[in-house]
Amino acid sequence: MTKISMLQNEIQKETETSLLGFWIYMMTDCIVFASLFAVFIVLRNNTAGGKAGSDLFSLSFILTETIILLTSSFTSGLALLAAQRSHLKQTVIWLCTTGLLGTSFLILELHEFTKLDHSGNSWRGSAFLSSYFTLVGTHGLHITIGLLWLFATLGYLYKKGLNEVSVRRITMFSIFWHFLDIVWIFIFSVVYLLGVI
Amino acid sequence: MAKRIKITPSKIFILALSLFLLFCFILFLLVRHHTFAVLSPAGQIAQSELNLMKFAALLSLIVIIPVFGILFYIIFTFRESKKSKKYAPEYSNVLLELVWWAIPLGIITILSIVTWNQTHQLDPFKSLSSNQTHVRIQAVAMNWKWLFIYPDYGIATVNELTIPTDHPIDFSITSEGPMNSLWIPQLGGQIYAMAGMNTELHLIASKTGIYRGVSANISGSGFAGMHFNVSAVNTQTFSRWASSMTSQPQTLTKGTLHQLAEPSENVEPFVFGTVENGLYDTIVNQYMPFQLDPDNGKTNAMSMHSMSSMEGM
Amino acid sequence: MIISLFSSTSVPSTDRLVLFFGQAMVVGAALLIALALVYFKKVGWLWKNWLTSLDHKKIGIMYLVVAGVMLLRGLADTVLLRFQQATSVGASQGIISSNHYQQIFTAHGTMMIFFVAMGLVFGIINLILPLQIGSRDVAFPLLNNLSFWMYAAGAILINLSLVFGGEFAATGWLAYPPLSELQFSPGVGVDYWIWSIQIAGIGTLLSGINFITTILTKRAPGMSMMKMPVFVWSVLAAMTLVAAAFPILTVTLVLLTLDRTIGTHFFTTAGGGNAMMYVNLIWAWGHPEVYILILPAFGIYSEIVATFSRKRLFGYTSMVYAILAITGLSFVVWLHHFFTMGAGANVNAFFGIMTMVIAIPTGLKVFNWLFTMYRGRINFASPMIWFIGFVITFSIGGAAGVMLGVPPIDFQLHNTLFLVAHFHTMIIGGALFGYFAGIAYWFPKVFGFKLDEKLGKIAAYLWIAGLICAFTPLYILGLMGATRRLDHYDASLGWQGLFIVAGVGVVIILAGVAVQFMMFYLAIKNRKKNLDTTGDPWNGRTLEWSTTSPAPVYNFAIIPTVSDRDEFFRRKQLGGILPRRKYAAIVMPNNSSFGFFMAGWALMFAFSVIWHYPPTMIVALLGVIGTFIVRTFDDTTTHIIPAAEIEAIENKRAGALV
Repeated sequence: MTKISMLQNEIQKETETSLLGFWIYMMTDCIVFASLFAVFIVLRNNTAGGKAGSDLFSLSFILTETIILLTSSFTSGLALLAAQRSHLKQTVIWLCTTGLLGTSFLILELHEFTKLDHSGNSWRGSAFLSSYFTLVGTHGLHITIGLLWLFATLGYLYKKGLNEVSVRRITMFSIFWHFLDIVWIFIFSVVYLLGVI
Repeated sequence: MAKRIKITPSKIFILALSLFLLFCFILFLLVRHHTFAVLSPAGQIAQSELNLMKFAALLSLIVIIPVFGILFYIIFTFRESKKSKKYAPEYSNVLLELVWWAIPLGIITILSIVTWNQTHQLDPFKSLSSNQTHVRIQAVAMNWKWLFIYPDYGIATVNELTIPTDHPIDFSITSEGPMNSLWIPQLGGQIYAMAGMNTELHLIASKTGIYRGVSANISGSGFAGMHFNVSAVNTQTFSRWASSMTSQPQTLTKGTLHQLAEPSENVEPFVFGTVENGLYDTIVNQYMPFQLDPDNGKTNAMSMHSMSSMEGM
Repeated sequence: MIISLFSSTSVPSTDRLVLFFGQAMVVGAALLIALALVYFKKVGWLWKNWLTSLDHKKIGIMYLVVAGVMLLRGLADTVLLRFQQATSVGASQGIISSNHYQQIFTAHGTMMIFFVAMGLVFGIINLILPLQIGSRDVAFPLLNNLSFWMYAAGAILINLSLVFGGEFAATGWLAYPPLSELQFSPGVGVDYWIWSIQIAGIGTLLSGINFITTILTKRAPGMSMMKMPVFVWSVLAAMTLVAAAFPILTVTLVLLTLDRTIGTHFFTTAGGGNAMMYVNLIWAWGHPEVYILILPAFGIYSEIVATFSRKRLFGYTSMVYAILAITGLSFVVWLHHFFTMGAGANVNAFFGIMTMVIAIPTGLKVFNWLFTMYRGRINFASPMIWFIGFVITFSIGGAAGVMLGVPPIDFQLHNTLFLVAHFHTMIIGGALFGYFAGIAYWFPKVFGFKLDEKLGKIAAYLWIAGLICAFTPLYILGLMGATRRLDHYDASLGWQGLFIVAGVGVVIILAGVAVQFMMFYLAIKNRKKNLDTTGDPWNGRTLEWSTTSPAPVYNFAIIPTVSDRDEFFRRKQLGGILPRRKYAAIVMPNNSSFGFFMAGWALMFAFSVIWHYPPTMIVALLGVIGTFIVRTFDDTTTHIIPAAEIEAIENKRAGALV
């Protein structure tokens, strides 16, 4: 066996192992969110005399956020498909679109947070607000990490192009991004829809 | 040269056994004059809990004694130097395996049925049935002392408790600060005291005497000093005591509560001759601006139930 | 005024002395190690061969070293606790103040669980698991190194608390709010507690993911799930618990941090916070944690009993199902840690019964071990002494546990020294004895030379005797109504004698520890005399014994093919030496300083949050991102060991089997 084919073989095995490991990591992250949801559900009525969700949330704004995030999930899927077909240019375009949409989502979320803070409804207000900011904020933190990862991947693509390693990274990023999408759907239903109704 | 003593397993066993017996004897000498609070019940609840303890210990012994027997039998029979002819390196026995599942299963089944019944029987929230009047006591854990309010008598005591024998005592328990636990071992088991929460404990004393009560849960630096004496006296003495206390000069109101709540350690017992009405509810509800049913302490505990079952998801 | 009625306790003058001594000890030890390294010019060697190594065997050894150091720290605390309780009676206030006493037992519990028991578990798993499944390394060697460094960073942080601030949490090892909230614990103590276990906990979580993946993907060909050694099963179960439970700990600690640093209201008394939720969350992690500690020990006993009885493990299938049952059940019993919170009878009864149900698979395992010895030829080497000590103490502790599992009994025994005695007999007698047995058993495999058996046995006897002597009085004290965590009690209660006996027990345990350290010292000193040239000193049964002692960096020159549960034993029965095969080149990971720096940034971040200093917090965050990006662009992460070099190494194996 030549040295290169040996390394190639090793990388292929590593991809399989990495993907399994990444799935297990995703499970643990699921438990993080499950715990935060549990905390939110326990505390959602503990408004300590302050405002409740129905007084604070605007569904149309949240819907915009949701659509942006869902679209970014779709484009990340397109990026993965392009990468698997070894189409570098398309991959980069779709990844950039995903990054752009993700960033806009993050800006909208931060806008909502500052608006709440300025109207005197910060995380210090009540247990309900604490758990709201923490649950949604943890999702936002994941989005931020995802974006950093995305930019690092773009840098890698720029320097090294599409190879086994970069496809693996895009695959894992895509799984991560879809996962955040699913978590958001839960946040949308449990925090916002149930809060407003 | 001195002859070398050969260490054999039986010698180790005998040495260990005699050391252990000596150890037990020393322990016996140390404890023989002192009270075993958990094992000397002075009331119906503590008695039932002790009976249950004995039963569970007995069931455990049914497993432990054979395990020790088998262990030492095997150690002595199958050690290498004996070159036992029964050596069977691939030995397996499905029937025995099933027996090992069955024995603990049987014992645990018995214990589970008993547990289910007794847990309901001895639920601390369950009021005790008696033809005598119930005495209500509202216990508040503070940093670091116990406040006991007698709402039916308009008095309160700090770090001491006087109760009539044979009357069911209905404790309502809460805390001003950190979590504590109200425990009077000779009367029965403990229940947590938590801020913004109302928990309940129902005890009864059947013998007059002085029993030790404590906070069993760490609550800060003065926690070790949060013990008190419970005087169980007969009904007449109790009535006399309660009416004489009303003449005590100290008064406790919503306004002066915060003075009492100031951290203090190893507080000597004293009495408030007058206590403002509804003080206890104020303490429980002070952290709860939202709606709470003050007559139904169970709602608080219930909110925990729903949380517990959710956690299990 | 009411206030005038209250007396205040005076702080004993020895208090500051004890603190100063602790500080001097930590600083002195750190300086001494640093100076020795520089003086002997070993810094480069240490960095290259150990600190940046991704070799699971070396990482395992580093875990054990840190755990050993932390064991000494935890024991020093034990001595202070026992001394205080033996002397602080009636008029005497003992040697330390109540607040200091509370800090010490909190530190004791935290260190013993997170940095001793967990360190030993992960040390042993690292050393042996890849060898036992016939693999060259774990699935993610880089992550493994990072996990170790996170664990080490947590251990460093807990020691820093003594030097900077001189304060640790005084709340008990699980820091129940509202006591652990800013309102009642305004100092940095609780923050130190939070961050040292937060960092170590994240490391543990990463290890959990790593070992699950390792077991699922890196087994030697032919090793189906039901052909895995029981130790591997127990690790798989424990790591599943890690992956499922540690995220809950992470979240819980984050919420407490937020409460303390940015003013949220998760567990506060005011603002609608719910402290009972904390208790639920922390035990939803805490109970599985107990099984994370004990299951690998069960696995170790299974290996040892079979080897030293020279017999196949009795009831393998039952053992596996028992492990799986324990794993599942460990998630539905957490409420038994707080029956006294006032949940209704239905809830309490349910959790009580579930607790007892766990005794069924556990009891079965004990019987199966006994019947592995039955009709065997038992060699009473030191691991077996630990095992016998385990069966005796674990049965008694288990019976106490079943009693505590009955809610009405628990109302009378909860928070007493009976409870303290119960969990110490379980964790020391159950888990720790298992780890010690495992270390005695696998030591020659890892280091290539044997430990002194006689000293090993003496240490085991001392530990067993010390355990009984230290905790029997505590069972009795619990029945006398002595609650835990008391820094002072009245003389009239008559508890002092028992506390002194318990203190004697601690002295016996310390003697055992001293013998153990002497055993390691002598073994290293006389290593030439005790070389394990066969690679199989105990007549072992599983794959780890088929390679040399110490195992080469790649573990197996040729990955074995498995067709039996006791694969190596089968091969020996078939007559040993396999035909020579042609060696192929092996790809191995390069050393990396990634883990060291990542954990360093984490430590810096934690320290900045504890002291509320944003600039270094930001530097640390940028450091994490930067280190991550540097690693992302690194393509030279592996190297190849050529076939010729492997052949040369393998030819040096003298008298090795298979």
